Amino acid sequence: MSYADFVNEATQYYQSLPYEGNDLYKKYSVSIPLPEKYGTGPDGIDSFVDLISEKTRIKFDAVITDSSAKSLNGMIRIVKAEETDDRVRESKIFRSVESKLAAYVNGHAQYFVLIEMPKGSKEKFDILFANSGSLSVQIIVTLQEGSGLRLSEIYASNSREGSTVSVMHEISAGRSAEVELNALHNENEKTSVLNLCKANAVDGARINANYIYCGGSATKAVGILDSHGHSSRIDVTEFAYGSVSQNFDLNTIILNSTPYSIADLNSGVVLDDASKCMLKGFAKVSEMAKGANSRITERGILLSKDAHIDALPDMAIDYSNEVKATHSAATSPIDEDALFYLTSRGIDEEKARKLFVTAFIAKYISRIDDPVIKEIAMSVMLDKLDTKAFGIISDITPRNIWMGGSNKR
Amino acid sequence: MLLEIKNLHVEAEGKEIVKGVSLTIKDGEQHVLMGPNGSGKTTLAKAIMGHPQLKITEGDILLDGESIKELKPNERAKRGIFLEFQNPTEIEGLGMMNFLNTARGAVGRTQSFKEFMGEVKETSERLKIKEDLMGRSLNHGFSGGEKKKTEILQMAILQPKIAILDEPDSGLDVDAVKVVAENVSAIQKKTDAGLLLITHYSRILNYMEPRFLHIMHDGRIVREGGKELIEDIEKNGYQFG
Repeated sequence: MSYADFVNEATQYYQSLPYEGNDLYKKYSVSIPLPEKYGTGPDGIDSFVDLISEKTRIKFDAVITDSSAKSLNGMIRIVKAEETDDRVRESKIFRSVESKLAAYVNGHAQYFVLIEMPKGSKEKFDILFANSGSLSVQIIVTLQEGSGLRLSEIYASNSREGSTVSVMHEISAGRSAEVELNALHNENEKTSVLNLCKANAVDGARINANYIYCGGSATKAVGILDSHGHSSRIDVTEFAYGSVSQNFDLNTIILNSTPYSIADLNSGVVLDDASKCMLKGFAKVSEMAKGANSRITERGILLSKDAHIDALPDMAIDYSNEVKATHSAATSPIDEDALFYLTSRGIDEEKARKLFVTAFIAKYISRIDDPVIKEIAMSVMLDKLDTKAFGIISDITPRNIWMGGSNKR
Repeated sequence: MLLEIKNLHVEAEGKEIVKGVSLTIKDGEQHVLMGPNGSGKTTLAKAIMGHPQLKITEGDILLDGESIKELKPNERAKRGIFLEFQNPTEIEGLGMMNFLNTARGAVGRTQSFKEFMGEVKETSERLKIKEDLMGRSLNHGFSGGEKKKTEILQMAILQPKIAILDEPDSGLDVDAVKVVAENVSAIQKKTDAGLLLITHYSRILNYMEPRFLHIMHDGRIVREGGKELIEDIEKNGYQFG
């Protein structure tokens, strides 16, 4: 089974919400293998988990692998697929009609991770996802009124054969709740990634989602994030750094469904070698969304003549007055004037290029509020910039770029 | 240090912009280059710094008798040449302090980090640069005046031997012009650098003492003299043929 099996169907789900049925999006699409069965890969995952824990110096609240799942925090409930009841299975807000990919992950998930934040509670959790075989997880996060959650996830793989990591987030932020989701994907070259997200923020709620992709041979991401309540706010940052022949297909849809809602999508890409990326940001402002603010910004830097970015920002505005809606896209090699400026200060060209790219990356990574995951993400990026390597992290150790001190929690 | 520009011809995108300029700048001298828009002043400045998209078709640039026209911009900077940009590049994500620290290391300034920080603080205060600017990205979101002042801050930190200032006064209010001019003079006095100041306005010269004034038109230096030329230009314009 492959992604093409889905997209070749004639069904158009939404004319105004381009999805896998949309002809243009089908043209600019990355196929990834979708296994029928998920399960344990080769041995060695435990030592790999230990290595990641040691390097990141994070005491993870939960560790989920293709062979086991363990929660060390009572607020993170992990249910194995065979133990799910209808309540868990049907708690999803990511309806299958919106995406057969969502239905696929829901049907194949090995584990369901359930996090429910009680009214007024505040927590931060770190979860490690590691795989040697294929891994599929559905994560359901529910925040009650006034609660707050910082959820940081690190994905790493030591797959020796082709494997797929498929993960689906479903986030529901109640009135005035705040959630920050940080996902750092650094799988190895034997791994493909399918990352789905559906998020919903009601009155006064805020969702800040940050996706960092630098691993995996092929990555396909689909997200629908809905600023669904009065004065609710959605901020999405997606950043991909590709080298060798990595492919990324990032399709994020932001919705302004209600008055004075804010939805902001920031996409950034740096590509080297023969890597490719498709940025398919889409914004929809509903007719109910008076005073809404919607923005898509897509930016890319090409470090090689063989690298390629397709940026397709798009919008549908049903309420044409009293809304702010902007979209823009720009991709280019490193700016020659910027290089001249830096080199005129004595900095050699190679270092100037690195400074420029590092600055571009930092612009996106700095949107992460979690100081530890921010340090790790930037350290991984700098390592990749130095070595072009991706996958098993040669230097995931935080370099204290921003913090200037210990990162131990 | 001695900068000699000899019969310099410079092309941009196949079009000759600088058409045979000769100029000599010695230690401690203040030179002013004036001229109408499009006369080639900025192109000349960038060519001295080594802009890769400009082509020197004839003539030479000598630093202490040695040609530098084949050197890359960073190599020229290491030899002591500094260009204050008319429109400094904004680089979001590159912290001002990180940039300054990298640049001062690149040109070989070896003071301790503590001394460097002290120098930045002291110079920023003298230039009346807001403290929070140092915690921001390079020129990102800076006002025109803030950009001009941080360029002069860079000059103070890098301590060049030859400084080319491309319109350091444009867009500045009266008070800021005075602050910039006095700081440029102070830095020059401290380092004994040679200075080439490009400007459209005589106001900045009220606070400086240039001995040499050059008027550029259509890629050539067409008039030369001392500060007395300014009054003539103010009264009669450039008076080209």
